[in-house]
Amino acid sequence: MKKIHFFLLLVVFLTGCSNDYDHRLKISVNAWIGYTPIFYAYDKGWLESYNIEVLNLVSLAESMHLYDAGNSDALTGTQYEFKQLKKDHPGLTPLMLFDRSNGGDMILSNLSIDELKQTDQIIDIYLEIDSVNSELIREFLNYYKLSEHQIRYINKDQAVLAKMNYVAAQKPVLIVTYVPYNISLQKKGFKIISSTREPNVITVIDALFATQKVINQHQKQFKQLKKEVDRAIAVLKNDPQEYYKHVKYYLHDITYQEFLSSLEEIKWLNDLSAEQIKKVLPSVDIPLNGLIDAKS
Amino acid sequence: MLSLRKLSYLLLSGTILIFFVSFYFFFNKQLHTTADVIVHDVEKDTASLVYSISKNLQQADDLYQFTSELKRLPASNPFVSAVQVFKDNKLMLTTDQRLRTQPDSRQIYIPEKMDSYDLLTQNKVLTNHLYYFSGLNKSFLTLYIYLDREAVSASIDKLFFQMIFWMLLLTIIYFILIFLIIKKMIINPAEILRQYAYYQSEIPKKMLLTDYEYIRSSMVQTFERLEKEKKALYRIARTDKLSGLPNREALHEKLDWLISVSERMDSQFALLFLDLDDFKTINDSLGHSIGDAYLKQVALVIKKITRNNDIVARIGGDEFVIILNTYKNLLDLTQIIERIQNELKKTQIIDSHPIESSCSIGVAFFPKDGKDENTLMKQADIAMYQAKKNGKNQYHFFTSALYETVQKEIKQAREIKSGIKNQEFELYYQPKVDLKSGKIIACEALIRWNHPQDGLVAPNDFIPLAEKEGLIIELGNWIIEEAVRQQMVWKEQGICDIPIAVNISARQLFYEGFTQNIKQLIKQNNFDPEKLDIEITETLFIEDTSKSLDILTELCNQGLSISLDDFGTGYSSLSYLKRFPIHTLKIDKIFIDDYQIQTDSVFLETIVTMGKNLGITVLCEGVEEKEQLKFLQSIGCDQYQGYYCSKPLSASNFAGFISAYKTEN
Repeated sequence: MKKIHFFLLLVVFLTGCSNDYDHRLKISVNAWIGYTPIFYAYDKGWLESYNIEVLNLVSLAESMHLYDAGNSDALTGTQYEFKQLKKDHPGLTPLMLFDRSNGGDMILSNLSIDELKQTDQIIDIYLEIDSVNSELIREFLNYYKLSEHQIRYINKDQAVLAKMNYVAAQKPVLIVTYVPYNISLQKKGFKIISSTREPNVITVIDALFATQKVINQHQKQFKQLKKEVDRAIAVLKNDPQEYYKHVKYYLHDITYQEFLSSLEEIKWLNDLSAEQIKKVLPSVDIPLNGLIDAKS
Repeated sequence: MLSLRKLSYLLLSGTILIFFVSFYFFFNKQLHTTADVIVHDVEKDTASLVYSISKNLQQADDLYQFTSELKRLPASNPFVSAVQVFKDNKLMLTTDQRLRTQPDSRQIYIPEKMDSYDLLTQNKVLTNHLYYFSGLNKSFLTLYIYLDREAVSASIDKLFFQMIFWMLLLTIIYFILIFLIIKKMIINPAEILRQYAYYQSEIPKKMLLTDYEYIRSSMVQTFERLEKEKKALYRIARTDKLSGLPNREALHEKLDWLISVSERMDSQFALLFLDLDDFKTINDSLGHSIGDAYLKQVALVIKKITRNNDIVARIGGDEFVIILNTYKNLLDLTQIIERIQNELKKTQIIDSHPIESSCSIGVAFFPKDGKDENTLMKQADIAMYQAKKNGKNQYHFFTSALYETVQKEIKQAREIKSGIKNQEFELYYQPKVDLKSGKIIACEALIRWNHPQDGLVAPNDFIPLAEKEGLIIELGNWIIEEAVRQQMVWKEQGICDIPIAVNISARQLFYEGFTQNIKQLIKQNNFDPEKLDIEITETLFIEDTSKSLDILTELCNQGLSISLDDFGTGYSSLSYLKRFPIHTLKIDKIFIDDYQIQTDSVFLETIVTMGKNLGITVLCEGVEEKEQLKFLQSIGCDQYQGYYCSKPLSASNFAGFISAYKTEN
């Protein structure tokens, strides 16, 4: 075995064989209904031949931290994570848009907005503090003038937030979450009091980001990824059951019905060109000139 | 036996082999060390994770709180591809949703049974445990850590490539350099010396290694000395010591070579066997030293007379052999022989002794008298004895008939020469008559020789010899000059102003300056070129077509006319009539002699018709009877020439004949 390995490597070295996918491309992807095309392609093994590895992570924040630490080449996230990371990674640019959150990002609570306004108690706000969650809650508090209340921020991963037992708390709770983590929380009695479906809430775009240098290094792999993502979305539209079978584990074992409901919370953007997106979403202020065109 | 080249290759190959084996073992060790480092790194990260989670895990269902930490392990450690957590056989969590089954026992890495390298290469799975307390009982969850084969492989590859680059590649370059140096400084020079020792074809250049240089210079000196000695020996073996001329051996070699060349070139040469007359008397009376000195003098005389490319050898005693292969003709050959004999007949002063001698020469020709060396030498020797029989200072050809012929030709050639000088030659003129009008319209000049002893000699008896000996040029020039002169005299005298035809041989026509001479003659005498007709024969076309065409065209351009003599007897080709500027066809006499035979009359008719069609005047030669004349008129022939009108006449008789003819007609 060792001898074979030795001589094979020697032959490879001497013949200088190489191909376009020699260098592995690592992508951090967190659990989100909008990123499931990547999970689907990964689970189907479509990405193996292109040497693309998917790091399946729990949250946006974790994805961001791992990328920052140099453990991945590209990451999924919203424009909020993009802006945060851009400070330390000036070359960062969106190269693939997945969806627009259309209710997929939300704020849950055990009280209504009016009850929250009237309460004297400290409001516990659970969220991933260094993610788009904080942007959503800041907008929410300002909009409903709750900023002056006594507030306690509790920073947790979405996986933890989804499983936590809040009954014992018996006090006002706000949870900033997103699909699919909202499902278990709603089962526990939490209600949506605000979401990205409402016009007064910020627009959230989900995309894949990488620095220009990495894009140049892995250009062919990114193009293939884009093709496979589009292909996965096509499968989703034609045969959601088949699609569901492959992605349910990545969404924490949600049911098929929950999966279908979750799809209602987003609008796919993968087919739109940069020009079309600017028209549809004029308020989005991220650069769109680096988007990959799989057809070119 | 082992050559230096093989030894060098063997040593180099051995060294390279040892190096590769060493490299393999070193690489193998490095491979295991790297495997240990990778496995240690994974185990360390796993242990830290296990400690962190075990500290906070209160029950199995709380594991979800540590999903993030567990997923971070494969995300942050490049050698880990996935982590699974099982409680007994139940999957609690997996970081890679594609891995949902528990690995079987064969996949599990057991440190006691295998080393790190096996773990990495055999796709084994590492295990660990997350502990928690269920009541007072210590329970655990099993952690399976899957290694990323690709990352492991890449890491090993990287190690390999680095080693290859820094160790193997540099070493290979080093070996190549060593090999090239050994080749350049040891193997190649040794091979060059070996080649030089065998073939001595090229002297090797100076060598870089002093040891080789010493060998090379010694070899060069030795071989140069040997070469000089070889040449000296060769010279001695082939040179007559006394005269310095080639000896019998050298003659044998040269004759062999000459025979093969002559056979190939289909040429001939003459072998002269020279023997001094009464040389024994010189030796006996004056002593051998004087005799030897005389022989040296003889050699010098012969060398002086012969040309560089002639072969002169002394084959023993007073016998010399001379081979002549570039003489022009027999006359030229006899002149050389006579020069040698005349020179050797002169008194030679040797050590103040006047020596009078002579030599006899026998001549044999290749290939006529012999086709090999022995026969030629024997025949020349016989001829030499025949010469001795005839008296001293004689030469003789091996073939008596040839000898007599040559003697006759030599005599006649000398007479022709003196004949030209003494104005013994005379031109006769035969009229050419127009068949329609019956008028004399031209004449042909024919040479006659008024020999002082033999009387009138016909051209056939001396023209061929004149051609053979090259006298035709001189004779031919005289004919043209005389014909021109005569034409102008008759014109001045008012006798006639008709063209005169002169016969020109191929040799004369091709002689350099022929056309120039004609041009000059015409200019000097202010002669009308249309009054000069050049008669040629068909043999001219065979010799050099393109040159003939050039010369005839030039003559025509000057205004001369061309007649083709003796048409029908030689190499008659219609293509020549088309290509060459021929004005008149002269049909040979033989056709009119037998005109009554149907075939000949048809020939005549055909030639006349063809001439008319080609725009060429047709003249029939040798007309002697009236019937012949009538026949020629009937077939439309243009002109005739022959005894019917007049035989060739001397200039004065021709003038009289013309006057009488004019009166009659």
